[in-house]
Amino acid sequence: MNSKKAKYLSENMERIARRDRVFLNNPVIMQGMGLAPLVVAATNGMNALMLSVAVLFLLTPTRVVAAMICRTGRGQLRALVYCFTSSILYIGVYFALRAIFDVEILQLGVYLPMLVVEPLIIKRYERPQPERVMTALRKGLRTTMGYVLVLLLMGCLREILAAGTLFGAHIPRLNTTLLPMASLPAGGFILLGVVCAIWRGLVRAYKKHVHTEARRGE
Amino acid sequence: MEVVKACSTFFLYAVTAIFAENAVFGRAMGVSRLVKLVEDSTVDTLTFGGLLCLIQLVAAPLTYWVNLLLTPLSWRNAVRPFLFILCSTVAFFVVLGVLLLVLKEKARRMLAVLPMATFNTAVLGVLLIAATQSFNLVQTMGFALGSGVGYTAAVVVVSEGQRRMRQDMVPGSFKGLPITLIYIGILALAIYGFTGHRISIG
Amino acid sequence: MKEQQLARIRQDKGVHADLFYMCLPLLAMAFAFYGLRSVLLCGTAVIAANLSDRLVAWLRHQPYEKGEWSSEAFAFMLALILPATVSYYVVIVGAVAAVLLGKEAFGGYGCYVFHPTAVGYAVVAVSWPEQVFRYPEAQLFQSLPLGSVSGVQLVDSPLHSLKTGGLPTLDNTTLFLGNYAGPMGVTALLVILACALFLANRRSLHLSVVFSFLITCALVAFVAPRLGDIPAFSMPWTYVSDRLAVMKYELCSGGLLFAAVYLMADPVICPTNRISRILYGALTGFMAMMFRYYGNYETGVCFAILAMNAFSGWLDRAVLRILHRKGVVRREL
Repeated sequence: MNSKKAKYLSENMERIARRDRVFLNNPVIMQGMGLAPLVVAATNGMNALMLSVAVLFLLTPTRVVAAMICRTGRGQLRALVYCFTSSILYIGVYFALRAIFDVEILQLGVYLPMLVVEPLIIKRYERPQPERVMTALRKGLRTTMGYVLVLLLMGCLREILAAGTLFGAHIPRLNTTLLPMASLPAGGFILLGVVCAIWRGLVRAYKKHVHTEARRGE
Repeated sequence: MEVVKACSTFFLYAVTAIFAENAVFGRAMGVSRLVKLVEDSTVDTLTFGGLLCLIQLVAAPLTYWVNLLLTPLSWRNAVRPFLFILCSTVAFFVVLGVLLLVLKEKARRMLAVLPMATFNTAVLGVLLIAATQSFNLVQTMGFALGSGVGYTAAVVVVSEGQRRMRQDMVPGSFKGLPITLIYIGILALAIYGFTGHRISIG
Repeated sequence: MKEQQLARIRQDKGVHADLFYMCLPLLAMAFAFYGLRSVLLCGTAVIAANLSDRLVAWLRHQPYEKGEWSSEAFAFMLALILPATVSYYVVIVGAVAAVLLGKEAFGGYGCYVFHPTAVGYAVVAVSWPEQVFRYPEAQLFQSLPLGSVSGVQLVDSPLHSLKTGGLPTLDNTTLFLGNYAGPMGVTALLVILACALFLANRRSLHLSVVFSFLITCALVAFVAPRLGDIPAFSMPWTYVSDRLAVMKYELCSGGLLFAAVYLMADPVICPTNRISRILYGALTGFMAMMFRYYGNYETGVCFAILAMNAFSGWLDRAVLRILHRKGVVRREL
């Protein structure tokens, strides 16, 4: 790594990490948000894809619209604003998903409508200051990217381990199920815990590498 | 006789919701909130759990009747979350009113926790399960209360686990969320060893 | 390895080394009934556990602790609770899960919260129930194929009839020698009893836990037997001979005796106070019977152990609080 870049990253690591919602400050890995659909519903690639599209259509619009409303109204009713915004937007999201995936979305059970109160979508209401609309848009998009990445990773991993397929297609030369438990919620918890640990280890290793490179450049 | 039958149905569904179909260990509902509660000692678990149970008890009959009205509609799946949030909001204000009336000043401390206890996946998820599985009123009430109690029990159990774990000895990458998830996963395995089958998710 | 862990190993005086050695007589019985395959399966489990330990030592930049035998003991015990026809892959997954998830993820020796053998067993039982709960017929000096066992006929354990309200038709000799279809190392009850005496003599076994566990299981089987001939809610003094017969079979099946001797007395998980230990044994026994009666798997004891492990710390604290309140002098045991 270029020493100037390393020095810049090292000095601003905290700020950069806070903003990076994909790798360094992933909403699932670092903040533990959005766990319910991930552990129970994202058992294969297709389910993960459907949830990803749902979150894509729901998260950012909810955050932006709720930010706009909160700037005009009373602060005490923020929770209601966020929940009602997401549940009304969900109506459109549901029909969009039906159009794209048809009855496949029934595989998600109640975990699709549950997204409406998922902390990933509505947790912003807990902070006292109303959010600026452009901030809501930026953070919403970044958080969506981070969550979609983990969703697809977990969905594909669990499908490979439990069924030896990927989006329904059999993987060549994989004639055995590696870990059937991966499709159960218990397996989801354990696998997610392990993935979190590995991810956090990689983040620590990256930060250590940046600081080492920065010190070397001095 | 009908009353006895209704009571036994209520308790059966409540006990099933606490153990075999625990909201956390069986369906991962409210896990994100649980993880925060376990880490954060400023929010009292029993207060949160008690409020959650109250919200469930008030919201459950409302959602049951709303669901009955929705049954003939083809687009019920789309509007159900909105209407259930509406029912939860009514439950929120009812519980808020009751708390302010009965506890007066002491209720102010609970007010910060009440929105969290109302608008979370543990409440909405349970009400949606009761609706999609077509429980009758008694079953819905029993299941909702049992889920609230089961959720509170799960928070207590996981907190106890946190207390027992030697956090200073846990490997750095596993500290915090990862080891908590593994702990919950192992307990979920134990419960699966009892039920032996995946529980339905609607 | 951290100082606290080393101190803990010295304090426990090689309990797990004793447990490891006491698995060897059971392996000898398994070899007599099933042949070399049983030895290879146990060897695979032990090697997988050892390699997992070394891997973790390398990842954590700590020296590998040679005197610490717990991982190998856990893996050995796990292999013995599995049938001799289970595949090598399943045994490896179980051993690795036991060591990495059950022990190392929580901080290594002295820090684990759940019994690692129970964790490994739960993982493989839930993933491959068709391999874990079907057994080959036991026969003296038979030799199962070392590779694929697709040609071997698998049967339910004869003690499976307890689940359906019947009584097994095994004579006492067969029952105590273990010459019937079941997990590899769990059926030879006389050998387990002999090992228990040795472990108790070496102070590697807390008899309070063992007895409270077994007595509770026996009481549940006596008071509420699963036998179809005995009406539900009948008085305990009626049908006494049938109740005693059921009690005998219940205690001798499902790995209860093996669990009592080898799994229940783990020094890290077992509560420290004698009264807590008695309560812990009793509650685990009750839960084990509930898992067997109403649960899906006949060897529910490992799942019951996992469930009780979540409460053993709380049990210890609650009992100590009550004892201190009553002003009882607490003796260190």
